[in-house]
Amino acid sequence: MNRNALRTLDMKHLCGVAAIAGLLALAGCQTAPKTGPGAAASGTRNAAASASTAGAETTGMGSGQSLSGSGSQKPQAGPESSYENRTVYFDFDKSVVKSDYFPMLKKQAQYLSDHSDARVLLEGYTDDRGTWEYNIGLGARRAAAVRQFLLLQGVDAGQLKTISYGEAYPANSADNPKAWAKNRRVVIKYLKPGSNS
Amino acid sequence: MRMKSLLPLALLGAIAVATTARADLVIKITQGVSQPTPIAVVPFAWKGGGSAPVNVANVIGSDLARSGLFAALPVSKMLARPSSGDDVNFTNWKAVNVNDLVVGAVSPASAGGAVRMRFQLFNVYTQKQLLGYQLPVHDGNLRFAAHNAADMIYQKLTGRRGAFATRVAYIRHVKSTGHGRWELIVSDSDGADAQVVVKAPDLLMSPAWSPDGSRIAYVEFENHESHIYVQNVQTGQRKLVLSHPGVNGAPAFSPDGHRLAVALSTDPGNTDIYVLNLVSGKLRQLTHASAIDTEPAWMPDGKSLIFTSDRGGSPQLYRMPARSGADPQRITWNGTYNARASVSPDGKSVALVHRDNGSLRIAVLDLATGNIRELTNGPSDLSPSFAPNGAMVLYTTSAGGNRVLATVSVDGRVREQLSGGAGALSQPAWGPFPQGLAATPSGGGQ
Repeated sequence: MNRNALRTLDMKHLCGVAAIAGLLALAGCQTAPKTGPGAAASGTRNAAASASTAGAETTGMGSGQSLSGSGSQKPQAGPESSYENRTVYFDFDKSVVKSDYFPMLKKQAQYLSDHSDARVLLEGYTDDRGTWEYNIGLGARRAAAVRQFLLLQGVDAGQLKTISYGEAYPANSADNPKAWAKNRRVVIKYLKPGSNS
Repeated sequence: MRMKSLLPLALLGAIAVATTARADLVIKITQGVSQPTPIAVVPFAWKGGGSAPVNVANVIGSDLARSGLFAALPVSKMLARPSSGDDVNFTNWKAVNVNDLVVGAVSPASAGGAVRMRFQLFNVYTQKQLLGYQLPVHDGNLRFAAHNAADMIYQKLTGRRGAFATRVAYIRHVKSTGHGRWELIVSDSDGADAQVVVKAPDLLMSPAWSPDGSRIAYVEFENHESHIYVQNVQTGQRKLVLSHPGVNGAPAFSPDGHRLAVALSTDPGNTDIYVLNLVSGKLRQLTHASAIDTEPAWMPDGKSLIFTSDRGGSPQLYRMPARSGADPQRITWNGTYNARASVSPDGKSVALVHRDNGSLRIAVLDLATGNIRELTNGPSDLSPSFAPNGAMVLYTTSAGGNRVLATVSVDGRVREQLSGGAGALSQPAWGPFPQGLAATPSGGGQ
């Protein structure tokens, strides 16, 4: 409760802070559907991949992989998993996690439980049919719903961080129902070890 | 989460009844009844070399027209172009059916002196001078001096203070790599003279003016966290005032400037209204609902706050005492979405975002009657902000695939898009009246 400490920064200092924040944002926020997230260096890549494959076996769900059709060996959970395997979509003005996403979230939860050093950022988003700050609240509620689901699966709270961007950064900036549906989402982003607080 | 879904259900029954009873109270503006007063603002004489740096008459005429109360005569229809009252032949102005006439001149800075602007306002029918002013132009800002002149003319003719010589703040997002570029911009009330006040690599949101116009509070996202800053507009110096885990949003200065109402989520996913005392640093929680409580707006007396909450199942406006936050009362009963209050300076009405058939429109709620009057057509109009004189509302709309700033007169009759640079513009906040104004009647005044 007492974090509202007053702090004065001069402009020069601010630029530095802004620049650092920018780098971290780029490093930590990369969705990168084509290439793997920057988090995994090539050396750790195999380890992560095999570990999550093991996780996938225990829950035994293959349809997601076959549906993706890419034929790639992308794991279904962890930092190497595809954008769609890390994204939960919501109905308009709703924050209920639909059961369609339970298998996917359980796999991510399993990965997090198996990798106690892994940390994720749960980013809540909305479509743009609403006011900015209400949408921030709505995105926060969506991120909290996913967080709650992962906690119930036994994930440690320390591995989960949430943020709401509201209607900023739409996944699809078109102005139609299809695009709006793609924007009402929570994206699970694996944070680089040691990055961010 | 369970409790959250049960509570709204209980409330819905009561709400449904009230909604039916008041369902006919949304008023749609199609065409205004009153006609704008025709006025001629003659191009000002420029007493320097070359051409004038600013088309003063154009700035004045555009301001007056944007208010919805005046129609500026096009220059092409003027039969003469006097620059001083001595040269006016009123027959020329009766012939083109204008009620009022503005003439003037601008003198460049002489040695050691400031640029000076002189103007006169005449009633064409009585042939009497209503105003005669000579204005020193501060910092060579001729455009702002023109806004000042427009304010004086507006006040003389309407009896109401003008709000053209004011500043507005808004957010601009320019897409590029990563998160793109975010800017907090301050410009004149017509969108001209835009200056970048804050530049950031991640989301900037919700600029809010202090009552004296010296500071702006805003939200900046850094390092996957949201922070609220208060920045001095002149010096650029800023203070971090809130950085709780979760949502830090929707800052709004109290009328005395000492407190900041904000929206925080201390429990993940549950956003509540708090008030931060900027002097003591003390934070006080006002709402406790398991709902999204956000977008607080102070009543002018500082005694109560209006805010958005979905505690009843859909976003609606509520009002509560600023001191205790006790027992918030719902004040919007028409439609499924009423949010983002901007209280009029007289405290009698509230501009808001109202959803009608899936279309988001700017509307005005009359606090005494509960009636909602739509001012715009949508489909995606957001972020209303009252002018400090209450005569216009600034908001954002879509035009040609872009998000732009626009103003609408409170009668809903005149809507105009403001000039603005590239990128998506959002969340405008109309600043207060300037603190001091130096204007001296010129010798020629009656």
